[in-house]
Amino acid sequence: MKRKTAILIIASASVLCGCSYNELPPKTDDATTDYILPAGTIPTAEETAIVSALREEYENAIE
Amino acid sequence: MKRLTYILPAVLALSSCKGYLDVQPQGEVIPTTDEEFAAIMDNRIFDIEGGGDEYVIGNMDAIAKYEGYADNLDANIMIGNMVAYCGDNINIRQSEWRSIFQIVRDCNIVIENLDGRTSDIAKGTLAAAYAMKGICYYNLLRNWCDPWESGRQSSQTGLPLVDRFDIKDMPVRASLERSALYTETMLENALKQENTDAKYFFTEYVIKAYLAKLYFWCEDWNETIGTCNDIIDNCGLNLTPIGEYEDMIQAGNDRKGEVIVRSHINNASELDWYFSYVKGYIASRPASSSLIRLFGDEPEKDVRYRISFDNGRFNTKTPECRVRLSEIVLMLAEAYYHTGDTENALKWLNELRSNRIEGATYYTETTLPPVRTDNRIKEDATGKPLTPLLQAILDERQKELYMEGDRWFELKRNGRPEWWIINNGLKYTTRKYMYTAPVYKGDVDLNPDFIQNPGYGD
Repeated sequence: MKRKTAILIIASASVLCGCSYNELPPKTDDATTDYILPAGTIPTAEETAIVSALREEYENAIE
Repeated sequence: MKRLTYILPAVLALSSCKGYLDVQPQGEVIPTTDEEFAAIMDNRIFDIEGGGDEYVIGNMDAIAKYEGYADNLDANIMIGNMVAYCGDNINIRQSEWRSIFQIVRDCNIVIENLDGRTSDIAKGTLAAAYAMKGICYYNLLRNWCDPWESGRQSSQTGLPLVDRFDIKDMPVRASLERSALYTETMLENALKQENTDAKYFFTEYVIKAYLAKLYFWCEDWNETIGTCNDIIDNCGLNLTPIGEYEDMIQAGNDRKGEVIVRSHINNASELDWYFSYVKGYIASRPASSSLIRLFGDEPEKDVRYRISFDNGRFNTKTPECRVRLSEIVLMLAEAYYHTGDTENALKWLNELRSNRIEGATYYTETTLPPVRTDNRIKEDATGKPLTPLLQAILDERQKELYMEGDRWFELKRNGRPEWWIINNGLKYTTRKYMYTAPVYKGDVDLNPDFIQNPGYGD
């Protein structure tokens, strides 16, 4: 009986040891592989006026 | 008890082996024969011919991207369905590094195993592998390295020179000079295979065209002149005249006229539905007024103007990646200019103009238009101020290679000017460092000796 118990214990231990169960929680990314994109800035009034002029020139040209 | 004696070893053997139920992959083989290695390259060539390849010859996606970064189209008038400016694509650009090295990996597998074999299949496949790898490295040089600075090239940062497929290897970046020499060696090795079979795509003058582009990028003007003259004299093509220009440029899938090489020659590509959308995206941002002004007071006389824009200045030119004889002629003219041979520079500039503009003014040193003060490009590839002759060459190049993904690299090659656009009320500036893309961040994180390009640090 003792022998049977020992064999069963060894067998159970083997089964459990062979299992690749990982008790740690699933790993999540702790580092990004992306770069932060450059932020836009507020244009000056002069720069906004340049863009307005470009658009106006375009509208006139395609009429 | 006896039964347990059998069961116990069985349990021990099976439970300690995690892979006993693994099966061999089905339908996949480790290549050994010439034909099996050829299949690796065939897949890549199939990609080019179908228009799926973005990184060797390029495709419509590549054109949409580079024209989105550059200034042929004006994002200040309308952003459209294109990337607003290059800064928005920083993460896409770093991931492209990986995609190109996947092609290099395939080429290396073929080169490593087929080198020395003498069958026609082996030589054709080797030519394709060396050529594809050389072109990939040329594209890596242009995108991920700073522009060539003569005298400084041995200290400028280049590329990792990867000779064989080894997952554990982590090569660092060589100098720009060594990287250029390595690229040249790849293309020369491709030439040595003497492939004449179009099935392997990379024949003599296709490879020489990329060699000329490499020499030009690396400011080796004498080699540029020699290679361009060889191509012009011997490739069997002539500059496409005005009357045939539209047919050549608007060809959906055919390689017509002066085209030396182009992608998307498969007229039944599974991606054609997708490209019809991409064409629409590209035609959603109007051409810039500075580009339109290059065509002069009578723009209709220039065949390139007639086929490139509709009434709203939106694109009508077929956006396909090609290398054409016109580009070879323009490189030749500029190389002559940089060697001080004004006569030949003018000769080739006029040769191109006479095949593009009805009644084109024949330029001489005295009739060249003066340098404009509002040019975005202020200095040439060597850092000198523009002259009337070089301005005229660069103008023709901008008009000729419009919507072929060239302008972004012209800006990079000639001084990397900074400029801005306004999108949704905010100003975004194309900074000097942005002309050089970031290398894949994963490679930098993995290897502390791997140098990231300036501007993309922590």
